[in-house]
Amino acid sequence: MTEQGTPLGVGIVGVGGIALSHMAALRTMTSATLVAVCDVAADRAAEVAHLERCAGYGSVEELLDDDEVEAVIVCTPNMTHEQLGLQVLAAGKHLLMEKPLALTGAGARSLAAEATERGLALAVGHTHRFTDQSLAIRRVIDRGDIGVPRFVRIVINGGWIWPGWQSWVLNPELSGGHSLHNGVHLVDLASWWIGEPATSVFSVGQHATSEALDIYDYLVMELGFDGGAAAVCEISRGERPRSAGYLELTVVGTEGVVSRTWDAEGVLAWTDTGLTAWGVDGAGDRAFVRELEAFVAAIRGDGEVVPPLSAAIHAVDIAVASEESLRESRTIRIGASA
Amino acid sequence: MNLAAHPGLSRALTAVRGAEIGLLRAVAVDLVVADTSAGGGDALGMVGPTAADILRRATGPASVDLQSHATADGGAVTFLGRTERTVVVNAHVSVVAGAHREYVRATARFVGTHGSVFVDLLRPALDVRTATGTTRVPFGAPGPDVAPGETAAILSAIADSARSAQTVSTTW
Repeated sequence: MTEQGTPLGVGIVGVGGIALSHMAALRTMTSATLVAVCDVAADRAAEVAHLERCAGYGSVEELLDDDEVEAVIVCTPNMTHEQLGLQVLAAGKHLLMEKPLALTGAGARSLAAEATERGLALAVGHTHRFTDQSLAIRRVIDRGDIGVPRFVRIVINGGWIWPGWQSWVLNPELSGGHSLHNGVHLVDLASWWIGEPATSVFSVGQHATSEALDIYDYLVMELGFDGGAAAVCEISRGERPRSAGYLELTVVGTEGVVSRTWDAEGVLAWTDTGLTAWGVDGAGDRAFVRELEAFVAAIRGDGEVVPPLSAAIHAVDIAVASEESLRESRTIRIGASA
Repeated sequence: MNLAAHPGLSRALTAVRGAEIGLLRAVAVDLVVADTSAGGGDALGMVGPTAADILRRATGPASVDLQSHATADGGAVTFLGRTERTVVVNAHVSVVAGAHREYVRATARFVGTHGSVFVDLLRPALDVRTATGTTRVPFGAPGPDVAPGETAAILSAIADSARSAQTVSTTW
């Protein structure tokens, strides 16, 4: 269906939130082009379609019937991923699923099996793998500069809560909880840098913004690996004031340490509020482009899906176990990894 | 170099006790020391007392449930726990190949309900940059070491958790 040299026709299901980042990436690419969008809010789909100069539909069925659509990016709420993903694959379209792949390990494996059976590419939006800093850290590890990795610390602490107290993200039955909604990003990075899947998880959470929350907006997951390596993955949406946000990426090996330190931005500002390390944006945009380019390459047989499906399934397994750990206040062992 | 008496750490602990960052919610400590014994290094023995002392001074006396992991050679130990007042505490201590007892990373981070404090315990420092490379020379007066016996029970609990692969309870 896809021909070399011809831009891949991409459709996007769900035009809110993260879909905007995918659309922005597609605008910069020559190997793929946005040909259609759909949303349950048909007027919203029509508005986006007008702006993006593509077809707009009010249902996924209409989008899948469009022959111009060769691959689909699913950007809908987490609880819809498994059913929509199966629908997309059944229609013979390649699939880039926003994370998490599914809300359960069984659901994730079901999608993987469907894609394999149909010979379709199935990628998952673990975009953090494609950022400048993540790739640089992996290169340092691959060069052997720090020896064998034995510890990973990932901290992504922010100060914004998801919009609206009725947001589906705040409902653990719909989002899977913070471990599944955002935690999978950190699990994927940690396992990638350590170089193997985790075998246990122990998690601690807090309702930082309000005790009224049904999810832990502050979450720390401790991953255990065979051989004693460990990772501490800390993610928060409840830091106040918002300027208290903090990002850290550290890997400790047998021979050294690689770390993205607090002033790694290289831009230090002295203002009325004191000394601040100003964040330098840009890596995020490139990450989405790289993610889509890897997806296109996999479809055309020019590369493997990144991350491998086994890693995306593993991230779901760990995240599900993390939520269990939060409920039961104990360490959860992971069975045979995918 | 003793880190427990580091002036930056003292300032951070003052901020915690004075509620400058609100109520304390989490503490994270990383201590990585280079040593010629890497490969068989005893990370808990070398820098565990300092890590435990920093955590203890941040939270005050507390009962802690924790899960730890350790490499077979004892060169890297990590734990995550929670005090009875739900302060999240975690630390990583490890030994990497290199010169004798020289810290290559030493940080402490305190997260509160209304802000956070990060201390690089290897700063303040002089950045010395030449054509052949960059070195960082710390300065400041050293303080007394933490007596290993003061934290023996805590370190024992951390080691027990790693050995048993179970969460354990301890007090500090």
